Amino acid sequence: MKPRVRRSSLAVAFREWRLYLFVVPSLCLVALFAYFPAASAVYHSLFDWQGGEAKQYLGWENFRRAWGDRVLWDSFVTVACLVGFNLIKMLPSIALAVVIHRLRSERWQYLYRVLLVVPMIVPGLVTLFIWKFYLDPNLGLLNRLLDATGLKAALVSLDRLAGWGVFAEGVPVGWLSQPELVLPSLFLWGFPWIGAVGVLIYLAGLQAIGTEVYEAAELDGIGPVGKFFHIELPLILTQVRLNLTLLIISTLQGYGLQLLLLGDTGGPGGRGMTPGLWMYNRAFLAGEFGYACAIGLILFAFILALTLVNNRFVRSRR
Amino acid sequence: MKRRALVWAGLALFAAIYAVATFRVLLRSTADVTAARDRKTTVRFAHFYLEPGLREAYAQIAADYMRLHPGVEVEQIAVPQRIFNAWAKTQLIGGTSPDLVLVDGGQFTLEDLARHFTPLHEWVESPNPYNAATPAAGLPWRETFIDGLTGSYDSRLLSYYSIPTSLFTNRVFYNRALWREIFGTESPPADYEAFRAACAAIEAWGATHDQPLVPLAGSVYNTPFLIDFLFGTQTQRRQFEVAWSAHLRADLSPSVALLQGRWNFHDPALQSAFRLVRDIGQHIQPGFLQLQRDDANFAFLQGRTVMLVSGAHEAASLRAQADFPLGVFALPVPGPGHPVYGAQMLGPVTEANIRPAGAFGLTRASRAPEQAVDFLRFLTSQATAARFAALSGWLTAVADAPVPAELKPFQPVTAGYANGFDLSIRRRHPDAKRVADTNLHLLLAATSDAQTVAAYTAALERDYVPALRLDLQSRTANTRRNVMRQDGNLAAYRWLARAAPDDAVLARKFNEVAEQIDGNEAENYFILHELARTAAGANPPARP
Repeated sequence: MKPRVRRSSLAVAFREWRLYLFVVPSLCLVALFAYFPAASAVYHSLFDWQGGEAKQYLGWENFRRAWGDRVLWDSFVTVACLVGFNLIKMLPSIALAVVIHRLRSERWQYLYRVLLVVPMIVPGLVTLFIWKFYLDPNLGLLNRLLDATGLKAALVSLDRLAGWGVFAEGVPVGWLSQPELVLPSLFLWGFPWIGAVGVLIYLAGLQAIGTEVYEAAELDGIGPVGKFFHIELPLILTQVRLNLTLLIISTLQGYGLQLLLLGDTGGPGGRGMTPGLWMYNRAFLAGEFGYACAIGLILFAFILALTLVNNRFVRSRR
Repeated sequence: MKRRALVWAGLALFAAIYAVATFRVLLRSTADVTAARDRKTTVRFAHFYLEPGLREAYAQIAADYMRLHPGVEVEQIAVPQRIFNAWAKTQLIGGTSPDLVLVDGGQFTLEDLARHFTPLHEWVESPNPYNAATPAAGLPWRETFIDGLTGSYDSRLLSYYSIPTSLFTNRVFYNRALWREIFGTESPPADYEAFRAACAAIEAWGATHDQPLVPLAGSVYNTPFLIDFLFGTQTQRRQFEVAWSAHLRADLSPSVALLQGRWNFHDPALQSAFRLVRDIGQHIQPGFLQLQRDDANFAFLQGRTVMLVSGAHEAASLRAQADFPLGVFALPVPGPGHPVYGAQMLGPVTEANIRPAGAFGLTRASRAPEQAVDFLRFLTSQATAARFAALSGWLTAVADAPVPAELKPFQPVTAGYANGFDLSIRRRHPDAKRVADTNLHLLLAATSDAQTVAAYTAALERDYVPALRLDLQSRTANTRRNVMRQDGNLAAYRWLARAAPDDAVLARKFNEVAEQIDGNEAENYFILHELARTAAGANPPARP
């Protein structure tokens, strides 16, 4: 009988070394298009660089400058608000996923899933312009709705009482031209905040819950609300965490929405300025690519920290 | 054994597919380039003018050129203005830019120009061969432009970096049908007060006819044409007091003067400018700070506003789309006799210092620079310029080219005084401009004149000077890098002059570069000195 040789894990890993050759092209492409630009940003953040070949080494000067950059830190306040808004905007998707999941008819479940996916065909830019049109002060749907429902008069009265100086009689509401309304407009954007991808991810999590769990809950006399808080929400926390991570990353990095709605200066009072938009502004308007790289790294640090916090504290009880 | 063979077979298949794919891609691009090289020289030019008529005009002229030069292919690349800046910079940095790129709008820094664009001085000094049978025959190319190409000359880089094709003057477009309905006549207002009275009358007419009618269409694109212009009328005197050179063009004098405390935001000229902007801002479409150029045009064309301020470049497009007769008149100016705004003015505003637009720069990445320049020569020859104006409905930058009748109201007014500075110092300071723009809402708020002007003044006092300092620092860093680059040129001229001590041209070149470097360094050190001297104070006090 042959003695069994305990081979090291490294040896096991390299036993079929040829298989690794399959991933080499993908690795090369990822290195070239993902890691190289990132490494280049780290390198160039230490320079006064305008995008060309000439650059001057500055050491940590770009980061020191960022430390005192009021626009940058104000933009982090704005983005913190946007993250908060987006957390709230997650709730309708969770609720809808639960409602679809609880439908008894599979055919109806399928139909609703299809209905959710259909709007994904519309390009994001089109959706954005439709919303921009909704917020138009002169022709926009939102102002017409306020006028038609009498809500505008109520807002004007409230304004008189509170002294906001935002709503006035006979003057259309400038949703994106009054700094006080920029953040509320960004909050309203996308109402009723049903994210198709989010709903489908939650549904996948909900469908993994066994029917025996529901049967046991029913035997214990737990109602629909109790089922949500004691069974469904705890068991889809993995999906919630995934969505939360993606949401934080996309909100912190994103600036396309603000750029298109408010321009490269962040709109009136710079209220819509986000770190990503400021990075874009510095790079492409001021030509300060080195400083923009430094802003990018600061942003990266924030995203990493928030992702770690999220992964540490939002855990599934499965 | 069988498994190993399978792995090797898989790898071989994988490598073969990869090799074939790579080979096909390489073959295709090589074939394209080779075929293109064999067949034709391609000249690509990129711009952001998407107005109807213009692209067609460029295309027609390109077709004329290709007929004249069968071995050349001219391609037009139109990129939306919103993304042009980022697109062009990415192309330039990546070395994949077209041969000719529009350099209007101050989107390129000195560093960009020096790094990515070819100086054109040698070409512009020789005659344009396409002007051979015209009165401009024999004239240096640069002298065939309205401004003698001074707008394309960069004094810090010592050369010409672009060739303009058009000229943008701003005017007020008005709906003559509506105007007649409201006022019973089609005559436009004669001066600023008449203009304001007309705005008030339009609002009153709208209210009595239950028709929400706004006097002026506005957007973040259009409105600055009017408010920067009006702002400048109030700093006409101030400009002369603070300028270190008395030429008509903007320079850094107002910026440095602000650091030195020679003017500040409480200055009567500035306060008057703020009030004037507020005054006119009341008659612009509500919420214009969130509207784009298309929104303003849409409002005007739909008859929801009576007037629209825009450039000559918009005329053809508006004329084509409007279902009402279109009128045009000059931007309203208060005049020195005006009881409120006259005190700060010298007189009517000249457009003699207007800088031609539609200017194309020759990129260093161009594979056919001679051909690209030749296309520009063709485009700016007198005959083609006249054709360009007729086809596009845009003014041309070429002197003595016939102007179509419908463009006559847009021809620059040369009499009068130069306008003073505005808060963007004519777009020289992007960060300071950002502060001025993002706080503009304070000036237009629905409270009293005094409150809004005070709020705007306070915001500028807080944020403008730090932003201006950043802009100036960035500018001095750019100039320093450029001087370092020119030092190499200077050393080369010096070295060549030693070998040919009697070469007068070389000696002149050396002296020119040396003088320019001295001038640039002197200005730079002066600005740096003033930045250091005023570093502690946020906003220096007003002069006594």
